[in-house]
Amino acid sequence: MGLLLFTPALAVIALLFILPVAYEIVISLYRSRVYEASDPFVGWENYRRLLRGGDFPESLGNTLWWTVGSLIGQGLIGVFLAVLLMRNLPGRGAIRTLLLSTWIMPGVVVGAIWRWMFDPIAGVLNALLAGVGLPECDFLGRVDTALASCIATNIWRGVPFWLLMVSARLQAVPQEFYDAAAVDGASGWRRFAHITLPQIRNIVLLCAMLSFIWTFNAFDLIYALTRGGPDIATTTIPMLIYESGIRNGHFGEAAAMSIVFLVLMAAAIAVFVRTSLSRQEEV
Amino acid sequence: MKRQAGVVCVLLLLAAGTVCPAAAAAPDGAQARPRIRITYATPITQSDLFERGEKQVLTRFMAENPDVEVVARQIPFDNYDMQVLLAARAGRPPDVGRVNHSTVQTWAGAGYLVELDDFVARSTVIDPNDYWPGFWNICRIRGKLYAVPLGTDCRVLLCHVGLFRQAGVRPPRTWNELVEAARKIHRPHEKVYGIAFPTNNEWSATYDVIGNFLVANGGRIIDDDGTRGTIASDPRAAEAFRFVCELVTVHKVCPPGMANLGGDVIESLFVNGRLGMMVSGPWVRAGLHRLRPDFEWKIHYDMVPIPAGPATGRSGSSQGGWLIGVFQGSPHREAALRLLEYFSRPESFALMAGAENLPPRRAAMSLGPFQDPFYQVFFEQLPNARPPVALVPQLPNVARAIQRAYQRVVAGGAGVDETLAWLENELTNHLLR
Repeated sequence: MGLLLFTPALAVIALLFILPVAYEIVISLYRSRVYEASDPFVGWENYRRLLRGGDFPESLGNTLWWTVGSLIGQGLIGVFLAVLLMRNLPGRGAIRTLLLSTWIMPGVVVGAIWRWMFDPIAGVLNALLAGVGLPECDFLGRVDTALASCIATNIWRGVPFWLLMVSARLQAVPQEFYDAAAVDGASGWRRFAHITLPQIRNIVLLCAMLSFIWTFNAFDLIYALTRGGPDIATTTIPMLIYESGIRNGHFGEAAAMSIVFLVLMAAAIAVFVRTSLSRQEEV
Repeated sequence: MKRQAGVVCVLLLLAAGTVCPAAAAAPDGAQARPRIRITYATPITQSDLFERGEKQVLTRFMAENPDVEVVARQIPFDNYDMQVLLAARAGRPPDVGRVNHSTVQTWAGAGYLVELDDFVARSTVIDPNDYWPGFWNICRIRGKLYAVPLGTDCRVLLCHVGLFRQAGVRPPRTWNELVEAARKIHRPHEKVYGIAFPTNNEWSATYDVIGNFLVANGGRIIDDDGTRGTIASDPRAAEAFRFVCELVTVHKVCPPGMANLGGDVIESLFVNGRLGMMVSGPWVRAGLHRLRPDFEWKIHYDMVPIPAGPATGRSGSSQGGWLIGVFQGSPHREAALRLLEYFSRPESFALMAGAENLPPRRAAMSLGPFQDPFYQVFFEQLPNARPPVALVPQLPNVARAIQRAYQRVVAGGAGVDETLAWLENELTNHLLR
């Protein structure tokens, strides 16, 4: 009877997750190219090609920088702003609303806005640099600045989510904790370290996990900003999968990359969940 | 009951009304032939270009062939190749459609296109000797014909008349003259720049940036049988690649952002008097007009052939264009071939002049729109034009590698020699394998 009740849920999971992934694994074992009439079975060859070199290792490195840089930036700025906006600042409601509007924008729109701001000929950032006498910079067009510029844009886009989540948690922290600490003569930093941080730790872990999933998977923002260039300075794994599968029609290779990507993400999420659970047990 | 009978009577009258005109239209009581519906795939999605060009051809074809109805399937250029390929692979291709010159080998090799030798041999419209031979030969794969040319193009150098006059220079005919003119025009502190090329996608980087100078200098990026990279070992190819990179890194006569510059930005700079030179094809006039309707050829800008390469002493340009083919699996092959033949008439090319391609056959050159002196420089350039890269199935990857090599030098500070060695190795040992 219990199994019968589970059947609809299992069927939905099978249809939406297990079947597509199984099909993807099957495709990854074939040399499936859109312009070739037959798809010969090649076993693990597509996976071996990934490990042998090409663009995969460099794109994996870009993906890690992109994800870690974005997470650290979003987390630090998001928590800082959340704590700041807990104070009775004038117009803090309007500031929160304004900040949130950036989070609900589609990635392509954010990309278009920042692409214009980074523009080396007509961009506002270069106008500001020139205004203070600094040399102008082709932010998205240089190999050494393109990825950092993409990360900065993603931080701008992701901070409001952290702000919203951490603010909501902070409002639930009893004021008595802070009053008692003030009576004990605790400084602002000690109150933050010993009251605020422990109280928001779980929400920070949750935000980190969700942001990790969104950032690791992100495609639209980078595509709108740089299309993976210059050279492959901003090509992350999702960009590489798009390039290989959609643009070049190499379905087998793109499928192999997707499976490796899925395994890497699943492993990272497992680590997150494990860390989160062990922290909760400690508390 | 009365009401039901009334409804039945109305329905019968309607049915009779539908059948009777059709019977009346059939000559001498013969039964009307059912209309065949075929699909025509095209990447022309801008409504004005389609209305002025292909739609007119299709309308005339249907008027002359009342038994055929043609449905145009317009697919944006960026997705065109992939969508048509996926449809062909799924067994539901269009009956007839445009084939990019860069993909005909791939599509024919995969068996998606109908072989046309017998049909062309019987045709009284398609005369192989009337076509530009270089472009006709692109349609031949392993000795068999799989498509016929629909339109071709080449690139020329556009010069801003006002900026040239201010700088006191003449339109360049050699690479040295080009550098000299660009230097005299370039005033970056006033945001006026010497020359720019579109580099924000692999096809622009390959055809509009490297390709023109490579063809003018007689170089080869890969060998003719498409098995090996030659860009580093062929001194003419290496010289062309170096020249284009050094415009940015040594001569510094380009606007900022040359690693990832879009054609729209370049056209905007040009019409606003902030860019001295740009490279483009016959479609440029419409684009410039869209930005500034009063920006006129000969008054505001002039066009000359791509400056001659030092190794050959002659001009040259990248050549691209479109072919038309019939797809395997079309249930109406005869009607599809009729449409292909109709598109190949010189009058059809004249109708499609609005689509901004040059005619692929000489018979169309004498027709109305192509007698416009605007086309003269393109007809002068065309005999020295060819696709800059051998048309291998891996062409998208090859083009992307060329774009990456260019970006490595101008955006990453890499040396030209080491980059050329990297590119040749990438081509020979990875992409062409």
